[in-house]
Amino acid sequence: MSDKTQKTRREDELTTYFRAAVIVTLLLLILSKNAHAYLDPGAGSMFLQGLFAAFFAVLAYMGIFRRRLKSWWRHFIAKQKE
Amino acid sequence: MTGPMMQDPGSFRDPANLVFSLNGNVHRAIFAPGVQDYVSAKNEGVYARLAEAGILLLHEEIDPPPSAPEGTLYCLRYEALPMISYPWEWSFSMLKDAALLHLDAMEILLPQGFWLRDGSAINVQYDGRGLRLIDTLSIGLKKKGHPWVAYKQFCSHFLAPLALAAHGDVRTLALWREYVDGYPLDLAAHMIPFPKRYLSRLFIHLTLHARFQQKGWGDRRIGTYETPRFSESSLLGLTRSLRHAIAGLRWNEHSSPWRQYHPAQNYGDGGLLLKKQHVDRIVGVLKPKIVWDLGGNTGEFSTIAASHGSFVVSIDGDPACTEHLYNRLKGDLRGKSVLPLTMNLANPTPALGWNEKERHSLRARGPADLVTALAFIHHLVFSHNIPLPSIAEWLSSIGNHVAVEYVSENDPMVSRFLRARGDEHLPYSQALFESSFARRFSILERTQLTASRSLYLLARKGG
Repeated sequence: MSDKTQKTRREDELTTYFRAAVIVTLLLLILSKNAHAYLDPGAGSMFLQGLFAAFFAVLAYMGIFRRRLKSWWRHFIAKQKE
Repeated sequence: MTGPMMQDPGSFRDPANLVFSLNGNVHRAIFAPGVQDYVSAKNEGVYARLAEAGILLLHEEIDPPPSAPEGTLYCLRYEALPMISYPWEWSFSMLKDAALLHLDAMEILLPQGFWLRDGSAINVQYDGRGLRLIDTLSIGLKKKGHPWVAYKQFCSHFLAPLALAAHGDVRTLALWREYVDGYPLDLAAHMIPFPKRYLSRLFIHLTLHARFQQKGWGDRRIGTYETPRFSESSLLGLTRSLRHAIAGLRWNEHSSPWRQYHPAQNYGDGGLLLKKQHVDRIVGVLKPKIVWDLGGNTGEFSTIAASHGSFVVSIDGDPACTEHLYNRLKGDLRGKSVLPLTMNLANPTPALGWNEKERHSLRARGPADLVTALAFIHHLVFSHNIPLPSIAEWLSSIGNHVAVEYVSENDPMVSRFLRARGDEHLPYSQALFESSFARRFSILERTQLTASRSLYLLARKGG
């Protein structure tokens, strides 16, 4: 049982390293210099937002979730005090 | 009887509307391209909601006057603001609050189906009670599924200068004078110290954003994304992420070189109480609507003037002073109309922008009803080598009345100052002071504050 858990942990770690490597590679690709001509900087801003659309959406949901959790916790504490 | 219509020389970029002044009021003419945005926002009660939240400057819709520009379909009237100021004159926290004001507006607008079409610092002004968005037409209908159109402008106008001031040096806020349309993102990204530009809060919106500006990334890819999927949740998340980045930026005014800064040290103790009483009396008698306090320091005398109901512009070259005063206005000075501006008065704001008319010089925004220059002009003479007659001429161009303190060479503060600089300086004596000012002003009163300090109240000749 313990061996199995350790194995799963090891797999999790490997997955994390793999993900990190992919992210780093992507960032290196993004940050690497290339020779494309300067066209319209506004379009780059749009594209950047598009790239992180899902990330921003998650942020928004996390905000809603946190507020709900806080409100539930306050409600819970108030009930305990009664 | 109506006066002539004057188009605001800074209002020409947006085909949807333009600003003009008529009979002492500011008006906004709305043309065909702006009608849909305006009517939709009005019908949805968006303007009322933002004004109620203290975000938007109130307006009143009126029938277009006959002298309104051709093609005016709707006309809005605003009360004229006492003083227009620019981001290159603001304190760090004022620029930060202006950024947060934009994000507050976005959070109210997005669920209503609207957003800000601009993210410009110029659209924020102080009206005597707080910061307000003044550009009604910057509120527009949200483009469905589209990223925020003003994202780049917001980052250039707020995030870049604030991050540079917080992580680099606060004096970089003066770069605004060159970059009147916002800081180039790559410039800010390069100037921010290495580890800090990769901090999570700045990384996406500044460092990565700068990369995307330079390389035409979007141009290669955007063509294939006819409708980039950017939901309302993404927009809300973007707003929160920007808020997180902006809110995390703090200027530590006690960091070098401001470590030695003490608010009261420049005043000395000579006649301070007497000076306060006289300033209080002068403002009480003159009842000026607008006071410019030159060399205002942390606003000791500005607040005395403001307590009589005047709108006071407190100008100082030290960003630590204006920051300190701005933050006090949100605390113990709440309710007083004081606008702290950072400006080296030996090099006041010139006319800037297109045709040198888009943004006004300090002089063009005057004259003030009363200018106070207390323990100030000897700094211009000794530190900046500006002759007394030239100072008198300049003051007569910016104030109808001037309360000016003459500090003699024998004053302990000035002697100490001169010893450090050596004895060579421009001519400076009370006789020269009086003759220089008498050419331009009538001397209404002269009060001896201490043996070495006198306070003069002057009225501009022919003013």
